[in-house]
Amino acid sequence: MEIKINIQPSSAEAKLTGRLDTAASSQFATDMQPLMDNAEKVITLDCAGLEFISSSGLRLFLSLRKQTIAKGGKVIITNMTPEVKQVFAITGFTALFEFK
Amino acid sequence: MLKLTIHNNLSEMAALEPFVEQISEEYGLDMAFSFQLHLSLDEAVSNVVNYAYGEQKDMPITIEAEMTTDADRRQLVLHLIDNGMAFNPLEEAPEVDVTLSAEERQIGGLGIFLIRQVMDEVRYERLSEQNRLTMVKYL
Repeated sequence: MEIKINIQPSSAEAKLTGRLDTAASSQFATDMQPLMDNAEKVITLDCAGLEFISSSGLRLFLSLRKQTIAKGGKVIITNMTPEVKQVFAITGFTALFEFK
Repeated sequence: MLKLTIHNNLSEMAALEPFVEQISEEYGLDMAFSFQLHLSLDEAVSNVVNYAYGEQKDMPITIEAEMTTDADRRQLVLHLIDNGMAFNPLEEAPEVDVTLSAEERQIGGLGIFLIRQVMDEVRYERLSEQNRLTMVKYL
C-alpha cells in the first residue's frame, strides 16, 4: 500500500495505490500523518489505484474526516473503484465524504 | 480443500491476499466475489488476532476454504478455527448505525457488520475447545 502526498498552501492531494487491508493499515496510518497535520485544508484523495479496503482502512478514512471537521477542512474523494465504493455504501461512509 | 495457517500477529495477515488469490484461481471466482471473500477474511481474522488469545503470542489461526454443493447450489465455505478463549464474535459485535454523521460515528465495530452484509450465512460454534466461525457465500 502506497500513498503519495502533495501539500499546497491551501490544499493537499494524495494518491492511494494498493490494498488497504488490516496488514497494511498500521503503516498507512503513519504514512497519512501529513494529511492529519493539514486537516484545515481541502484534502483530495485520488483513489483510482485503491484496490481494496476493509474496516481497518475505513477507520483511517473516518479519523481523517473527523480531524478535518475539527480543523475546518474537508475531504474530497475522486476516482474510487466500484468495489471499494460498495464498501463505503454498505457502511454508510458514502454520506460522510464528498465524491467527485 | 485449501488451507492456510498463520499466527496471531497482524503482520502475518499479509498472507491472506495471496490465499484469496489461490482460492479464486482454484474455484474460478470472479473479481467481485474474491473481493468480498478477502473482505470477510480480513475482518474475521483480525478479530481473532486482536481478541482470541489475549496476551499469548504465536498462536495458530487456521482458515479452510472449500466449494460445496447444497440443494444444487454451489457455495464457497470458509472455516476460521482458533484455540483461543471461547468468543462468539456474532454475539459480541456492537450494533452499527450506518446513518450517523462523521462526528457521531465510532471508529470501530464495523467488521462483523461487513461480514454479515457480504456473506450469505455466518455461524459460530465452540467445538473441542476451539472457536469455529463458518462463513458461506453462494455462487
